[in-house]
Amino acid sequence: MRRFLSGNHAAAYGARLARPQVIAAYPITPQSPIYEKLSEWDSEGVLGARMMRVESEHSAMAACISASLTGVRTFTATASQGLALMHELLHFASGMRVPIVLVNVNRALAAPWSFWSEQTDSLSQRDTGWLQFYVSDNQEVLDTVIQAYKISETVFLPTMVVLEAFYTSHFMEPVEVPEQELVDDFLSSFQPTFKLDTEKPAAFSQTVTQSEYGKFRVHRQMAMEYAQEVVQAVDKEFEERFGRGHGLLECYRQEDAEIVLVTAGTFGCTAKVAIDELREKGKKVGMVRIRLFRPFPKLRLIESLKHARKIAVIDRNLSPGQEGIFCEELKSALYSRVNGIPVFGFVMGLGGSNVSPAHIKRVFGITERMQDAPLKPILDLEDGNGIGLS
Amino acid sequence: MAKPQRPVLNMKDPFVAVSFYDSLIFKTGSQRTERPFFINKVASCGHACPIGIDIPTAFYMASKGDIDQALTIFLQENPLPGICGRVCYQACEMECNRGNFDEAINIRSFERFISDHGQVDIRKNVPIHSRKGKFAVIGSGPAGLSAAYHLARLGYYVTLFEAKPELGGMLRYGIPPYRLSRFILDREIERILSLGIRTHVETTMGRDFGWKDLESFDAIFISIGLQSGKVLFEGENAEGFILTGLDFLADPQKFSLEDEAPKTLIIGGGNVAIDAARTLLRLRQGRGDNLIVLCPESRDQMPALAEEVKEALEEGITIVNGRAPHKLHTKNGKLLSLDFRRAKVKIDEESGTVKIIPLGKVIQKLKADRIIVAIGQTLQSHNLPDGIEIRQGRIVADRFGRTSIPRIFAGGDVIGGKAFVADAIASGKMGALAISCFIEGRDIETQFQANQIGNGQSFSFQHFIGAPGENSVDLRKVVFFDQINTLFFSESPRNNPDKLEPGTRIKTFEEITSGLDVGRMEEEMSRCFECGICTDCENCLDFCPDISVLRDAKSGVYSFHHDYCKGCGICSVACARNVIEMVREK
Amino acid sequence: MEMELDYHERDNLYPGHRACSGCGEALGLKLVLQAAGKKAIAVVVPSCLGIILGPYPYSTFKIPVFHAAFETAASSAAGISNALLAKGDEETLVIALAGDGGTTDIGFQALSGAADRNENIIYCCFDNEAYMNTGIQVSSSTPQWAWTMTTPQGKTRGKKNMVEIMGVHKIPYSASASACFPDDLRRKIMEAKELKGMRYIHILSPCPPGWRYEEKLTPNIGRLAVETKFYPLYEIRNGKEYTITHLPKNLPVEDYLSAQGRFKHLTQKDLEIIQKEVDTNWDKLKRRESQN
Repeated sequence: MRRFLSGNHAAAYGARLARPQVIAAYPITPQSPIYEKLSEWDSEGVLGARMMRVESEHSAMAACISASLTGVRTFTATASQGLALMHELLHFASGMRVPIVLVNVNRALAAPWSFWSEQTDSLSQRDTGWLQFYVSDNQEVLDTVIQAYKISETVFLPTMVVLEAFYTSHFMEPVEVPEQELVDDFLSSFQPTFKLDTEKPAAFSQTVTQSEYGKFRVHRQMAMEYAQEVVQAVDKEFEERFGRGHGLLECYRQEDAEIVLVTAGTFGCTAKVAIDELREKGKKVGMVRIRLFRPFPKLRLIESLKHARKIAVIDRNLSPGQEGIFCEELKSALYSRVNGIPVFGFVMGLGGSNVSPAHIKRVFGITERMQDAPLKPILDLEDGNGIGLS
Repeated sequence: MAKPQRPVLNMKDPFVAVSFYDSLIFKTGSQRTERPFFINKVASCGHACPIGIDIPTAFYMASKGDIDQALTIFLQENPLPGICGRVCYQACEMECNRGNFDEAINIRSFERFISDHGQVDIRKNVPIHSRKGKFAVIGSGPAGLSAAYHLARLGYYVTLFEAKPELGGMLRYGIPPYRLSRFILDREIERILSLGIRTHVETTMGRDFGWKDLESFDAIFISIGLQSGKVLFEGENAEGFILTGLDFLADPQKFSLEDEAPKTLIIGGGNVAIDAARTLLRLRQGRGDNLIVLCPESRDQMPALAEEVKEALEEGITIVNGRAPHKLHTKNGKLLSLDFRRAKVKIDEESGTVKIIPLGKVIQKLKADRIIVAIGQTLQSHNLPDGIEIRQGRIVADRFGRTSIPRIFAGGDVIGGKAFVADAIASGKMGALAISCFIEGRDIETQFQANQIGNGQSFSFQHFIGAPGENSVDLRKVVFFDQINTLFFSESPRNNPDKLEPGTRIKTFEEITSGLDVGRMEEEMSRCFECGICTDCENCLDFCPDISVLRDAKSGVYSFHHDYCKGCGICSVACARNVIEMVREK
Repeated sequence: MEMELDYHERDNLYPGHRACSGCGEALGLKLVLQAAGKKAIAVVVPSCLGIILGPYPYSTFKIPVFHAAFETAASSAAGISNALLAKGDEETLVIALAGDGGTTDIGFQALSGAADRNENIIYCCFDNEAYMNTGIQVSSSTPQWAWTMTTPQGKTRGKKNMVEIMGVHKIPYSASASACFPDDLRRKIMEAKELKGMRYIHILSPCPPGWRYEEKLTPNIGRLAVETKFYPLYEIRNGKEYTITHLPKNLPVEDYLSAQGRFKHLTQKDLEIIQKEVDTNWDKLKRRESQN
């Protein structure tokens, strides 16, 4: 059924359709509408899950972990400060291999205070062992949430579905909401092999030795590597059942492009408009949007980029003292196989400032003009002349 | 590198920290420096008791509802609990650990209670007449009855000789019925005799038989007591107006036939004097005029039991202290008056001898028609075997009752020592041990020490018999107050039995003190700390942090799991009764 | 490989745990688990309890147990409770077990939140009055005047009264207990089991190395705390009904304090002040009880 939904509500529908049994959440702008929508359904008696209206995000994640260990499907959503507050427990959830699905609405981290979009919050969690998907439109939000449960429950790793504050979360679009029976058929119920059960008592998460810990980490890495295949397989099945897939990457007019723009999130949409305009002018330009960020789809990226002459990565995030994170990760992936393609790192839209097709065209212009890619990221292009261009 | 597979929970190589094993492989006892032991011990009361009764175990049995077993425990050492429960001077209560906490336990009432209500067939498990050995016991007072009882329990043949018409000695002919019911006395004696003891009453040594007649017996126990009252005024005790307390009490009715309440003076401060006074009072239907007790001791020094003196005063008996008799005045064979003087008494701490020191020169006079003299007892020496050593009016015997003649043993008042019922019973028990060792050729010192209670004078006969016990008892270890963990007990007042009102009781020979009723007895039993014995309180189980105190599901026996016990010692502190001891590991 | 059969029928804790010799907390834990029964799931957080739980893969608990993150005892237990309810299981008991630091300090927020939502759990705080597992550092549950490694001159402020704080949340049951009053503690757990909603039990757990006394004296220390009224045993139901569950012997506080090395620096004047405070608090408690 087609509905006109915001990204937040699309996430809420995705969560509801997956039939979680325990939802624990705490409000934070711009995530609150997800929490509110779920609460509305709960008060009407149609949610089917137990809503825990907890007193902090930390407790929300704690409750999800233990509930998941008790053998039920769980869901939570947060943003920025809330995600940061959950940080230690994100490690914990991944370490305990619980298939929690979390929706994070990218929001700039304090200080100073800001409510608008920036990817640094979720990217700061890239080492916690969660799968991460960066989505660009509301349909993808809903679809990815549903897919995430199937993926997580196969590899026993938690998944984070990341959308952007206001650009995705509050922006309304038509969204195809699948029928509950189809989703039930696709997902089936959650049957973990290990859970807190008085019939089969066991101890969870005791203290381990150094080598035992190492073993568990190796297992997790293997699961992460396997997860990439699972993501593809699940996406394929989803496409067969629901008529649409999203893939590991979104490639747009990149096969014959000389300059390839690499983006994530809403930049993907904006870039498409700029690319079309540039192509009109005869520029050979294309785009690759990274959808699956963890596990990092190295081979796929290398495949899709190895024919480019130049690459420009546009990050709405920045790791202070380094560069844009997608750029950094991309460079490290390319380095092991591909030499000689200059990679230009652009950082734009920090704090949620608007990035328009004109800005993207500027990015293209600079990339086209410059011979060698600078070592440091190119900043402040939206307002000024750009730092780091010399 | 292997192709990553879907994670499957393989218990040998799990992908997440889930564990199904238990911790029993960690033997946390390996670093222990001390380990606990259950050692049942002797309580302070049992240690103080001359007879060495296992008082706490009896309390424990009774508190579980098994009065019969409680009585059995008393009977293992003391054949006359019904008696002691009425007249004993309660050495136990004086040392009762609870006395340091709030008030001592009413052990005497307990002994009486279980004796009055318990039913025990003492012939059960006793090998009556199973051993070669024939013994004679002369004198059926508490010492003689005790010796006969314990010898019969060992399986020997015992014959009891008694000069008086009935058995009991001082129990019948000395202690008045208002203190000790004759019904109870008869019942207790009957129980003893049920062990197959033969008796000959109205049989006086020297008159009805001689020592030569006893040669067929393997050994003899002399417990004839001190049957002669000490004489005060030489040569005049043949007169009708003066008699000894002993003679009076032996048959009070006989001596009071022509009594129309003449003025009677009773001289003496001991139990016999007080008993004589109170008996006479009752014969006179409670009229206490014309009856005065005169004694040289001060009120506190009086050798009579304080309780007795108190009761006598309640009954309106006049006791005049600090007065010593001086001279009689008679005329035509009738008594006129007695002169007496103020005096004080000096008791030599070491020897115990009593010296009466007259004070001043003033002579006072009291009119009197009759005098009862109760100033002590002596031996009737003409009834003793030749060659037996006597000193200061007592048969000389060592602490085991051995006399100068190897085959002859003695006990009770006749050998001296404390003249109380409990001590006599203990003495008879000791004599039985000595005789048994004599006939079996064992060394009595060794046997005594093997069964000695603490470092005291008493021993456990039950231990000597070698009856199997459930837990090991170390008779040498005595539990005193500082070893009791009083944090586990709450204060509560002692229960005391009712006494008849003085106004009522002076007119009757009924027992003055009733026993405690069931309700109050149960309350009193619950007050007993039960020092030194395990009462299944399970504090040790409850307080062990390492779940290393075990209870066998079938037998209920407690033990320690030494694989895991860390030797912290909590159990030894949580055991409020001091049963658990920590011993260093070797 | 599988768990061995019941070690002691009623015990839900195995021996072979790594608690210190003489540990009051292990004692309290044993008693709580005895009363909790077999149909229970436990959450344990970093504290001495984590050590008692033991190293992977050997567990000292007979019931399922989850060793969660430090401040999440209440929130993790709440998660389990909601999961069970979502599965239609209203019978299985969920117990949260935490130390004093994990309850009164870092875990306070989650505890208050769970109480506010009246989550269906029993929360047991094992109070050894400092961060003992990490080496005796002060917590808000350390009593005033006590020595710890981080308050070597003695703590200047008083102890947080968790029983009262939880009472003010108006939860169905909030109680104080002592590991050295086994029957009282077990009874309180059984009472709590009969109720639904948030139930809180604060358990005084004497610690020989932290409180500085000879390890075998744990039973006495744990009882003296109560008998001197320093730590009264009582319950609060629904925030208003007070019941004192043990009438103390009224021993002087000196008996309790002088038995522990962590108070040995107290002067006679200090003791008088403490005695007065203890008496005042007791009178207040009695008044509250009489107002029921």
